[in-house]
Amino acid sequence: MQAATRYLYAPGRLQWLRGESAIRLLALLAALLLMLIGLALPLITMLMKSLQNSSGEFIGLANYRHYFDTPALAGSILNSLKIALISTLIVVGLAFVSAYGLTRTCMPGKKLFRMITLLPILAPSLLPAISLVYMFGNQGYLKGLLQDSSIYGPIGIVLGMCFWVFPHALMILVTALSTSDARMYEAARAMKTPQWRTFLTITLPGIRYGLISCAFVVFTLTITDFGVPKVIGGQYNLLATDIYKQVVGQQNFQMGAVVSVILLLPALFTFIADRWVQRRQTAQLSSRAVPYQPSPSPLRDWMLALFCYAIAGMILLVIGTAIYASFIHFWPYNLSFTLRHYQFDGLGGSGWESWFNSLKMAFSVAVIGTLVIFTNAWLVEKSRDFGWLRQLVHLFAILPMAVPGMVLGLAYIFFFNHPDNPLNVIYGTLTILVLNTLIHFYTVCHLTSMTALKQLDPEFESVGSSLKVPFWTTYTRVTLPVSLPAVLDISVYLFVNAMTTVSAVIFLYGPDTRLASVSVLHLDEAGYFASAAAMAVLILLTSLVVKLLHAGLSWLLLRKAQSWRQR
Amino acid sequence: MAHADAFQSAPECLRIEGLSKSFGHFTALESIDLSIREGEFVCFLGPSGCGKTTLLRAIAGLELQSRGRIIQQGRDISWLPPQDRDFGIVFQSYALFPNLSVAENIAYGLRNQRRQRQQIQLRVNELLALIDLQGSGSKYPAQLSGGQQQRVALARALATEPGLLLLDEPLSALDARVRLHLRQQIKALQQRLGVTTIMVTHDQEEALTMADRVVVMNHGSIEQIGTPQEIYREPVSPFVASFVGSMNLLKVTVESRQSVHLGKQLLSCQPHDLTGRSVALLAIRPEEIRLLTPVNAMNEADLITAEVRYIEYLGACLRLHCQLEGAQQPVLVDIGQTALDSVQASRGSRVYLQFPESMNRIYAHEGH
Repeated sequence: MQAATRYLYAPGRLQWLRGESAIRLLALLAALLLMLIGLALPLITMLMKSLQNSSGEFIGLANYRHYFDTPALAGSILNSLKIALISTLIVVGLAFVSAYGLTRTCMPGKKLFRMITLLPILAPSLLPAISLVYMFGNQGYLKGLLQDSSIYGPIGIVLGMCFWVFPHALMILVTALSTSDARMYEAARAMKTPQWRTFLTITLPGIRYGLISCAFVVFTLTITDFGVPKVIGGQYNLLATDIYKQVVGQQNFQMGAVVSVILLLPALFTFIADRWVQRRQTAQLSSRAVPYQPSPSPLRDWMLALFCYAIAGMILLVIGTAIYASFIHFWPYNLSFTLRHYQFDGLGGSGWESWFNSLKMAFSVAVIGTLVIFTNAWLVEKSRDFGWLRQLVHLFAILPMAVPGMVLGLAYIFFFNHPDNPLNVIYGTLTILVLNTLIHFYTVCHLTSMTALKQLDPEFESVGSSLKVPFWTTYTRVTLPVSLPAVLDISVYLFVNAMTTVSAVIFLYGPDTRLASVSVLHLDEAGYFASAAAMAVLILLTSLVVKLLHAGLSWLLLRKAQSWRQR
Repeated sequence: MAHADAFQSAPECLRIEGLSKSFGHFTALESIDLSIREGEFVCFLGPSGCGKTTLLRAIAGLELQSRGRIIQQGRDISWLPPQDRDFGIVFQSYALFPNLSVAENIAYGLRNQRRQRQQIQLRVNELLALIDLQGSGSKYPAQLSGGQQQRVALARALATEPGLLLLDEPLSALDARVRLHLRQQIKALQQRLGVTTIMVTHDQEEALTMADRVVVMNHGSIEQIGTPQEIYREPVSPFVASFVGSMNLLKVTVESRQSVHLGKQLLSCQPHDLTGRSVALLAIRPEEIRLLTPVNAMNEADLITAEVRYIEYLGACLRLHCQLEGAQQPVLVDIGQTALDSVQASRGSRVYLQFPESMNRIYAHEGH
């Protein structure tokens, strides 16, 4: 605060602070306000709630003491850690081998494999869980493979997680493995280094940050995911499902807050660790690096190809099972084709209305979110003054990644449902869903924007102001058009995530704003498995269509812009 | 000297008073005082990190000073944001807008002045002719060569007819040949338009050939301000002496106000105030040293003998790397091919050098 005062009262500062600078300052303050309302205040409210009893009196750590004294509750911590660790090990291992195949070999069918591995992100995490029930459940067609074990529990959860998280891990590792310098491999060959030593001394060290980052992302995703364990977890308790049970099942909001704070800790820890690792990673690769070009080696290429095909096959099997189940009358007794599961009438959910709600919500998030996030990132990256304010906005922008969806959703209940909060009018409306989803997926979009903005010439703004062109004109005429590919990436990312997210919005929908992903969960809860599968497939198809539209649009725009983009 | 006088009577364009800038504990600019006249071409010259770019950015308003004032044409602009100041700027990277055509880039500032479309078109064509790029208006920056992009950036900065043109290392991203050509072009353009220009550069040759006055900077402060001739012929400090051009800096012992000992040899030199001190530096440029044939040397006093260690071929001339006899100090001597042939010096041979009195500048020897 002292620094701020000194800043404002320095000689001439106030004169500086007018016109465009004042507008910039207001915009930055608006960005800060958004982060306060959308993130900081709800989380603080939740923290306070965890220290209160049901009538709102402060009781210190009594809730926490009660939590740790109840083995049924505290046991979830170990369960969650175990599941997350096992899933991380499996997923990182599989993703590493696949990414190696994609980047360092000449295996055939790379493009097709990339496309197939993208599919799991386009569906809510409920979909693999539903499919796994059809495959390995009591009536499952592959039940024999499990022998006496049950899919309802740790096995199912880990399998579902692996399916759903694999694309994330693959993307990170492909990026890490692609940014290698061919000259180092040439140098190693010139010195007659054996292959295994090249791998240990060049390949692994080169991607160690990527590997660590990947492990962190996978760990966070699996420990916070709610969809998979909700459907297939059975009696196996995890932190994320505990929050749901406490709040929705037992209406015990205080205990929900306690579990949320506990779930926040590992996510926060991995977040800080990841930040720390990222900071050390800077400038590993010089701009003069020569990209690595693999040369054919039939044995290696085909071994990795078979490995990748097996993974692609499993992904297609899981998705195919959900699609198949949604089109047949009644598994396993009546396998004839039907569309009736797509009617959703009289099943308790809101049916097609929820799909329209999801579409509306995802579209709003994509449009508003992209504009807000990219503009805020631009304010942070391309302003000269207000350093402390920009740092603060940046910090808030990368924080949402550390907040699990369930935690954010519950925090919103506490904050926005409070009778004294003037903002409680948005409770139960589409607005709160849009705000929540925007904040929930803020970080990746912010970082993407920052990367794109950092690639622009830092002097665009200076040139603009030297020519007395207002900064917003330079923003709309130059910065936005040049960053269009990144902007499109962000919008499609937001759309897909808004379509598929369950965790945060499960607490926030109102009677008129039930979403498709929530419907999947409710249909599954009510035992309408085929309809749940149908709704999940519907979400998958919607995301897929949007993704394809995005690809087409990007291609067109790039072609149109080729005259100036190609160097 | 006569060259600088041309601007003595011109009105003052820019005055900088006691300008300082620090980033935390690092002082980027230390109490800079400078006055620039209308129509002058001034170069800020110095090694990287000397504060020359920071000074330019402070004049543009892109960097805020910690202390001091900047007055442009009688108006105190010290605290005005860039858009309220009157200047055009060209950056090292050019910062051309890649998604706009050349014409749109040049018209970028004009559109904002609410001029008529036709007027803008006329002005753009005029500027395109000025930079010799007629017919390239519809191209995109990426389709132009580095030198052409540079000229477009220049045209864009000049389009709104600013009272001050700022050039931030405008040539350093270009090939040597293009750079040489553009140097003359920019200088000619500046003279034709008469626009007051400040250019930042670390290339001393660029500064000497283009500037009316050179401001040599080091460690955030100004070392010397003067015409290129003054900077080259009469450097005020060993730093300026060695940063601009090549300079031999030899340790000498002060004898009197007009003479020093180089080793055992007594040399006449420029008058100095260092009588009290024993050790000083003698500065002489390689091309200022005379190389005598053994025959001529017989009749001369003040001779310094040296041994040729090796001969470097520089094309236009040859550079002899010699070792002074007795003093054990290296010295560089530049001579033409014919001169070398006449003395018949080769590696290992003994040569006779003469340091003309008027060229022997004496500086205090810091850190001794």
